[in-house]
Amino acid sequence: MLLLENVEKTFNRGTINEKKALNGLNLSMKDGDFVTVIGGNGAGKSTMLNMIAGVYPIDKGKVILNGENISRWSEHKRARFLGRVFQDPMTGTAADMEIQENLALAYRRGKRRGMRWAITKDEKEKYRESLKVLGLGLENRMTSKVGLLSGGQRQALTLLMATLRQPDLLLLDEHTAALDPKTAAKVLEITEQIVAENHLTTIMITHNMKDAIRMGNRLVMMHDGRIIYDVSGEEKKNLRVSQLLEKFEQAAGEEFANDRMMLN
Amino acid sequence: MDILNLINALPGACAQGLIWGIMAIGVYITYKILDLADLTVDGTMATGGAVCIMMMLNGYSVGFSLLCAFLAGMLAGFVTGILHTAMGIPAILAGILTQLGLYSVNLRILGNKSNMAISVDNYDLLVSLRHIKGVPFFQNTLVVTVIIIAILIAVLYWFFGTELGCSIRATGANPRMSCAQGINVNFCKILGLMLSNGIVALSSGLYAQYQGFADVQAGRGAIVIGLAAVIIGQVIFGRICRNFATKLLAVALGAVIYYLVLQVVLWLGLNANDLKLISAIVVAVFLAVPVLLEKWKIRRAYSEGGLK
Repeated sequence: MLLLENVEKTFNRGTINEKKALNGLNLSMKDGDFVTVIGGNGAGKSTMLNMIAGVYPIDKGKVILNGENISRWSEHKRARFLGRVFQDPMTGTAADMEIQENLALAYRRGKRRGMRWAITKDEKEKYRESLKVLGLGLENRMTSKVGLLSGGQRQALTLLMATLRQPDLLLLDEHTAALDPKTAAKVLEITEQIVAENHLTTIMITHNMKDAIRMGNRLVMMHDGRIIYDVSGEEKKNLRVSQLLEKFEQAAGEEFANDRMMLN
Repeated sequence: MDILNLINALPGACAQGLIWGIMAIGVYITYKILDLADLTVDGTMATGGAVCIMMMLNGYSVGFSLLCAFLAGMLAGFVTGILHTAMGIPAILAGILTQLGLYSVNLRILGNKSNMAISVDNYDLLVSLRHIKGVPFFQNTLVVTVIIIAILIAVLYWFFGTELGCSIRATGANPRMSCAQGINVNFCKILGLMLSNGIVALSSGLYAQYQGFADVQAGRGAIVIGLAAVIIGQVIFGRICRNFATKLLAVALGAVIYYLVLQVVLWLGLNANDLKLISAIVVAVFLAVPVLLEKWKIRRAYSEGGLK
């Protein structure tokens, strides 16, 4: 389904700020896989998602989606296959546009945008039904500007937009990190529901080890731009946070000193 | 300081304001919708007139000449768009480069003369400063420009309601989100710049007819007048104009108000050489007033009585 082959990416090459973000990364995903990704700051988690989405070009290696090498494709062209939710709730939606306009934009992901009306009557009904599923009351505020919504509401809306047109691959980049615990739990619940209903192949980055263990069928730990631990099935289900920390110390040869992860 | 002089001058000021209102609607597309400051318009505001007048002098109809002016403006916008998107030049600098280059192009179009006159007696002009009074209703410049603005607003309202128009709005509102939703952001920016400059050139073609000549200097400071109209319209009508069409109308009315203010200032005794300074001050004041009001509100809010 998705294949990352020996992907490398260095930022600011040749300067004092040179940072090797991805260092021979390999990852292979099957259809329907739900992979959770953990790792310290600067491990290359977000860079990996950005390379899949085509935000920057990669230096070396291949990104293969559904058997097609998309390494050289532009970001907007890849969008046809991808649903994305970002860490910052402001990034995934257009604040100055109405809720239904945002949904209409998302509904046309991967389609030609021509001279037809941007939003039709039938669509509005469909959006109303989809918004009801979120359980946030947004179905009664379809003509409100998205800027009026809270961070959690915007993130839930982004999630809906990412999956309105079924993506081949859903990329979640710490999409609950900016939310308060209660809202984060709600958004995660919606995430699980949408992923399960549509059998979506998903990559979710998280800082919360419990969530990483609880959700999905596979867990991947990254360090220094590559995957250092990859576990799935029964073994993953029986994982404990303490074991994960141990694994990290073993593989990375250093203490997992990240307050955010310890506290979770 | 005869008040009658002022009153007599008002219809002309309104007509100029309406023509510049068309230009301001073009500026609105880049400045407000695409969130780009496009300085190309200082060049296009002369190009449109030059193309229109030269074609009419060569025997083409006024409609076809205006169409060509529109297309010439689109071409200028395309150049800026390519410089900005494909070459990665910041939008402001890309606009300045095109504008500078256009000065030479405009002189070429005008046959290496700095201006070309066209007489309303010999040519069938759509608008003219001599068609303000004493002409049949539908030849009155005020009526003609109002009709053109109405058509323009209707077309833009339709266009920005389509899928393509919506993706241009999304590009301005949130480029990262647009890209993630599969919108070609660079294409949308180029298209927006082309549309904007096309409209500016159309306005330029009308303005040259109105004045009776095309002038290579016609665009100097045009962006300031365009921004003035956008901002005046927003400050004065912002509360009542929430719908897209009425927002565009507010922009056009902003240009009219700008010209009325200028007329009053001239009437008060300043001369035409002072106009650029006055323009700059008018824009600065209208930009500053909302900010200062907000600051004043914050100060009140932190005072003992609080904000009432």
